[in-house]
Amino acid sequence: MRIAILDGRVKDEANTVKLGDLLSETLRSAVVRHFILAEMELAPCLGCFDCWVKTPGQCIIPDKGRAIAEAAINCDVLVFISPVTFGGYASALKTAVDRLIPNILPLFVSIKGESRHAARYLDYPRLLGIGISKGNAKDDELFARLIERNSLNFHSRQHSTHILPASPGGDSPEELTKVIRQQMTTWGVIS
Amino acid sequence: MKPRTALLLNGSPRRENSLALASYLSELLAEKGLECETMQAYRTPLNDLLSALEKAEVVVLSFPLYVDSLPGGLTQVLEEIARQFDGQGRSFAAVVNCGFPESGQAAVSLGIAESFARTVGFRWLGGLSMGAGPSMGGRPISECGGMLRNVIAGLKVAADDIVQGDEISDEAVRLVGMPLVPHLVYRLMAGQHFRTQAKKNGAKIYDRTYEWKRR
Repeated sequence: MRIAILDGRVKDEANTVKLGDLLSETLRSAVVRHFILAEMELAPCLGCFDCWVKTPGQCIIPDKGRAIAEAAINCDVLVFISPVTFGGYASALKTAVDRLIPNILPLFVSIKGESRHAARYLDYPRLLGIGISKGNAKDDELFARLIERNSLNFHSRQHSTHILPASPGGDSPEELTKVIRQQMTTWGVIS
Repeated sequence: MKPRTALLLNGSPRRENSLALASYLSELLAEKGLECETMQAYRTPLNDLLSALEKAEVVVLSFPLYVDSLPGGLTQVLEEIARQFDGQGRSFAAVVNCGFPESGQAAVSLGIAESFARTVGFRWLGGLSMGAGPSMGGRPISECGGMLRNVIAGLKVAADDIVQGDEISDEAVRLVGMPLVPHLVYRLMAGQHFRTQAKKNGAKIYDRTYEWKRR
């Protein structure tokens, strides 16, 4: 069982750093990779498409974006965590997500009546989106729609969105571990 | 209130199709007497952006659809603007250059642009989405020919709305969002474009670089 977490929250000792360790302790059989994106300063996608036509499957930018793309395909559950920002992802998470397009193909297919980029790999992880609310219900709803759209375009086997309150402790490692564990149980990937 | 000044922001890291949309709108607005400035959102010092925003009574953000929303680098710029700028008394509109043939795939990204605008205090004028954007091939819109006739007609309607200080009309949204070519044709043409590029580079388009190691 592999879990990759792309964490777009501000780095903070209490809430961010401990999540990976707590989740590993809780789910003993799981390999957890926790990327604290705010401290990585990934270069934004250049829109060059070299990952499709020059070095297919790999981004041309030699930073940690490559390791993130590799982890995001070689896992059973991919988790996006972000403060709900204008109804979407905070820039730290969005920059990482843009760097995941090497994992799909430039070629187009039609799925459920819509054009999508075809799958590069045989299988893609489930996608769990966790938004930390700023108290705007319309934005929270948009965040869930974005997770759903991403799950379609990244060929996720299943997806789900959870919105957590921004209140102190609302996104504590304990709360997040509980949410991730619950969702994995619902999906039947852990018992 | 009718605006006198407009700022057109190119929200793409590249200077091609999203810039072409911004530049064409700028021409249309300038023809109607607005004082226009076009600027890159990427790699422009924040202070220059803020002073350009200060001068503009209407702001139009043109951006490419990146994974169902705004590009990450652009999002970072918008987060900074939201921290430092108050849009009260100004209006904001957005134009999306969508790489899928269905312009409707940009709906979430326009929701995000609207939420940004409202967060900053701008009046939201509405958003336009153009499908099959890469068909422009980096050319100015006036050189793209008949394929873009509906997009051009829609941008003209939108420019009239903006000049009048009105919200962007449904007619502009409809025209800009019309398919350039049948969706199947676009899927094949765009796919062929990438195949040709990969072949030129001697690259294998289907490479599974990070092959699934779980099994």
